[in-house]
Amino acid sequence: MMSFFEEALRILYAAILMGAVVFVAVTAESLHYKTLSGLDKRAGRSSARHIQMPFGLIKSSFTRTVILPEGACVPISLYGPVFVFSAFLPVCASVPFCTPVPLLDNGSDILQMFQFFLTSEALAIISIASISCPSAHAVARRMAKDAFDYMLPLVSGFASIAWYFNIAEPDADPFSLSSLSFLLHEGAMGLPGIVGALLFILLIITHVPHNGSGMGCALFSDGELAEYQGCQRTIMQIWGMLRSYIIIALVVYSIFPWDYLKSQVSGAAISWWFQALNLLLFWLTVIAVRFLPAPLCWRAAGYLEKRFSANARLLLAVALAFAAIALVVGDAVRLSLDAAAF
Amino acid sequence: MSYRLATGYFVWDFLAWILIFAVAAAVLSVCITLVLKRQNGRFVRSGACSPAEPDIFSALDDKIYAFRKDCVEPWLDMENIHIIAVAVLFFLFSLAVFCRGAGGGAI
Repeated sequence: MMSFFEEALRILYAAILMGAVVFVAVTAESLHYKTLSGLDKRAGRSSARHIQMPFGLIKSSFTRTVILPEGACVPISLYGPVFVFSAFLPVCASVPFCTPVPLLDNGSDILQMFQFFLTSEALAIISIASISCPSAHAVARRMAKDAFDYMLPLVSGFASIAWYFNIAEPDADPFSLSSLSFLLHEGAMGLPGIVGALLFILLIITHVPHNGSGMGCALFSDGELAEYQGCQRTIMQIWGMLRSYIIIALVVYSIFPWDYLKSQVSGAAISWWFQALNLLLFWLTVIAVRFLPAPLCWRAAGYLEKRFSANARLLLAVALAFAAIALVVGDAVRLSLDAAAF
Repeated sequence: MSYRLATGYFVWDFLAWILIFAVAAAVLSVCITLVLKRQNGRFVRSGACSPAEPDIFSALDDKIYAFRKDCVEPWLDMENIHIIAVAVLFFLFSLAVFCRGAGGGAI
């Protein structure tokens, strides 16, 4: 009986933490929105951002009439977003943001996260496509392209780093989010590897789904799909914000020194104040990255978008990804050869 | 029945996955149902759909289609494709078996 209550309490704590992550993601988006609007006002420009303020949007959408276009597949377009969001929550639970209440064991496992990223994306595309409008199909196709765009550097980056880690630390788990953090803080990585990893980070942040005005919610920006309204649309929009935020959180976690510190400082994993400090510092860092470096990367990408043709951009992205893989893998080969010579 | 897949590296807790998914889905479904109930269980049909924006992916689609037509379909249309497919799979399998241990620690 006692163990049942303990389990229930653990699940409740974890649910509160996941809720807190969603809240922080929406708050970060709101703060960014307010800052942009403030800057627009100060410069005397009328705000060109058609997306509503996130908290206001959530509040109003649950009282607004549910509208579906003619010909939409009702069960999927109405309840599909629910499954999209639910499939994304295990990713949220996997980010080891707070070690005292892990709901999923060994939460920083990358393979586990990718499965849910993929499931959630597939469900989202199905949900949008079920609206059965030409404009909805266009949005679904754009979503598929966006998913491909951000998943490719994410997968190739973590796979290359896992390969490096497998050579540097053969006994440890290479598919862990903290692999890069260990390599960087132990000084095991050579300069080419570090440059390659930084290039991956840059590529991942640049490809985080976002809209033209720097908001993390790329979905239904600029008043798209006006004939699809209601709480189901809001769930999809919150999912969009959360997705962008969690991708940034994954990148930040991969260089955050918590796991390394835990292995170095005795009692760090047990002391509650140290864990609380870690939690606070981690989320503040994620908000900071969301606030400045991420929009800067997006602006740079937007600038390139205007200057170069689609083919040139694709070529540049592929060349940078290959360069990053070559740098990390090349450094790993060097390390392996050094070990063999020794 | 085991709900956990534990290897030396990771632990996948299927029960926790199902639990998180099911609880979240149930809560959100109830939310949507309640919102619909406020509207007497009905939703509004918006009528005509908005026109699609100019399709920026059509060029990409054309390329994919051309690739499929020129590069993939000739292979699929071959007479002995089944035997070739089995042979390729066998080759990949033997490659995986004989190169075991080549990746990772020793290159």
